[in-house]
Amino acid sequence: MASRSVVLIGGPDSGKTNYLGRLWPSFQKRKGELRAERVPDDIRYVEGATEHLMKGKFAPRSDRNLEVGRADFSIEVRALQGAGELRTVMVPDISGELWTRAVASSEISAEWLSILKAAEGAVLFVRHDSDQNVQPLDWVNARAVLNMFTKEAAPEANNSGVVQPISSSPEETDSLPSAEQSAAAIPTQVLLCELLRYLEILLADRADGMAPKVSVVIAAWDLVDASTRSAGPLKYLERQFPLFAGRLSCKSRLDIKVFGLSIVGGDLDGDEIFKKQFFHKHVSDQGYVVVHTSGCVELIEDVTLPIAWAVGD
Amino acid sequence: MRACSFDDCTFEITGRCIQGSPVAECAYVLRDVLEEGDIHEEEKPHSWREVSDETQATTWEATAGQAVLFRLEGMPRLPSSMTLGTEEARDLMSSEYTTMVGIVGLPDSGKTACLVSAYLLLSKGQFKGYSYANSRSLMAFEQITRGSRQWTSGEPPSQLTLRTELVDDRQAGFLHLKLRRNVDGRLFNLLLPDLPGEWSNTLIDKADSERFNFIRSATVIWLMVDGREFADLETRNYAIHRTELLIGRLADIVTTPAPRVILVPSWRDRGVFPAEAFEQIKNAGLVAGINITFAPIASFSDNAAVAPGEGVGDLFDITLNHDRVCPEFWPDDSESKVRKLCSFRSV
Repeated sequence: MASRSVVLIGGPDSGKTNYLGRLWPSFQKRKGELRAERVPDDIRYVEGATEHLMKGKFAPRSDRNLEVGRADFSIEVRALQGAGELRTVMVPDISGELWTRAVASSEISAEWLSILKAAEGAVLFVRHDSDQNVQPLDWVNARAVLNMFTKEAAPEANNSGVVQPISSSPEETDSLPSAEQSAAAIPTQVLLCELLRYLEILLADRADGMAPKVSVVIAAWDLVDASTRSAGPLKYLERQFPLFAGRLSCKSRLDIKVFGLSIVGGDLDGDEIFKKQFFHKHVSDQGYVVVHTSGCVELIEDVTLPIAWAVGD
Repeated sequence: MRACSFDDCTFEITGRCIQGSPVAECAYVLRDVLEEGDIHEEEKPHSWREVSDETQATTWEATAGQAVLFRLEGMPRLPSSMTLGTEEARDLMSSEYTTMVGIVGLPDSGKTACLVSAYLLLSKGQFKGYSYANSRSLMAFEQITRGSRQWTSGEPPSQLTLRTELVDDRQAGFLHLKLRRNVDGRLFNLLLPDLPGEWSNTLIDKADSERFNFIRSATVIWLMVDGREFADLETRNYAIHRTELLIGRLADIVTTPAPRVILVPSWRDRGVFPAEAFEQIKNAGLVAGINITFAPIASFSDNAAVAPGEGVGDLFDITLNHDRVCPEFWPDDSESKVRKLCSFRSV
């Protein structure tokens, strides 16, 4: 195994598995900037995801069969169309839920702590419009929470015709979130900020002394509305995840690039016309990434680029 | 590795049951950490070997006072982003330009609500004039907003924490924000104290100011008051009286010249803060040598005409940008005819 590695991480339903399922055919066909050195011994994990894609479906989140062979999945790759240095792409045996729990508890297994420390690059996933994305609290809910614990925000009765705020009822107090629920309720943008902070602290410097590289991948880019798509992935993050976008633009020891990713170029679940067209081409010929280059938003038909860039030859 | 759960039993020290029962028959002796068969003899710690041999029970005296239970090997901790302790705040202030805000206020004046509202505005990308850049206490903001971390009821922390502690309860410390000013992209570090409300009470009523010594490092002080009390004629005079008292206490703490003090009435949505009340408070400040400015906020809003978070952006803007006129850099001295330093000028 190559000593230098790149890790793929992300929250629940962030698109990691489907991305690997799509990468695999590209490796087999030797297409794209990134090339696999050899076929790993245990490929059940990626083969399961690829099977779903080739049959015109996205791999479902709840498919436990995909977890077979999931542990320690890694693949040796070379960038520069196979001419680059040998690197290992690691997919931690950590589900998105476990990453969320790690952020909530600040705890991670010693094994994966050492893998993160040894890695010199990472790919961080977030999926557009996932039902697992958690939105930040709004003023109504935040006030209700404050009302439970303090008099500071407790409203008084008023007769001025204004809207009555949420009151602190016993029922509401009983419904206080448990620690486990709190972990699940961490907003996606906070989770991303914290994962990025861990990467900044833990990732190793590259062999050439340069900063470790992190690709931020926005999956399901084809589902983003047209105006935001044309504005590019950075603008998307500013609109959807302002805390994370601000954090990305803040100076850090990481070298960060943001990609919009569509693994097959359309929606297999909700677009029947696209699905029919999809079967007429090999999966490795479909999909694209969108990236900011020289102030422009460029579409490139090579889904291996986020890892190839993080590998960084 | 055995301990006894029976009240007052000295088994841990003497190795003998206080009721005179054989150890094997005692119902109160706990073996819950390591069972004898779980570990090999060579792995057994010194104290365990001694305890397992009942004939050498007296050697317990040699281990008296040592830990009864071994520390369990825990998961590695990732660095947290909870409230900063005083040492971490000092590290930040000595490495980057940082504006420390001293927040003091009358009870129920909305100190926490103000911080929560600012965080919500940033989370939604609706913070007027600024955007989020970073925070070393992001999870602390999140947990305070969600109410998942609260002051220990009845016994809040009595001192600022030194370094971040991973405990269940809320810690008295500092919240950090790095904001980007939208107009020019300039970054500003802010430290905002997150303290139990009781501290302000004891400051006013008992002059217990030692815990507020950090305010001497503050660039700006937010003097927070409950705007509803000032809007109501019945409660206004006493609210002004308490505010003037607090100003007096502050004057005893701060160094000279005093930092800028901003009067922050909350509940802007419930009514306009009376101008004459501010005049009285401002005059009380001048007597104490403190110049007070004014920034009303509505952290939340029940009023359709007032947006939630209104005034919070302005409060931060006033905090980060003083209103003093910058003196002219190296002005020409037309009266001096003796010395000229033109050679040091670039123009």
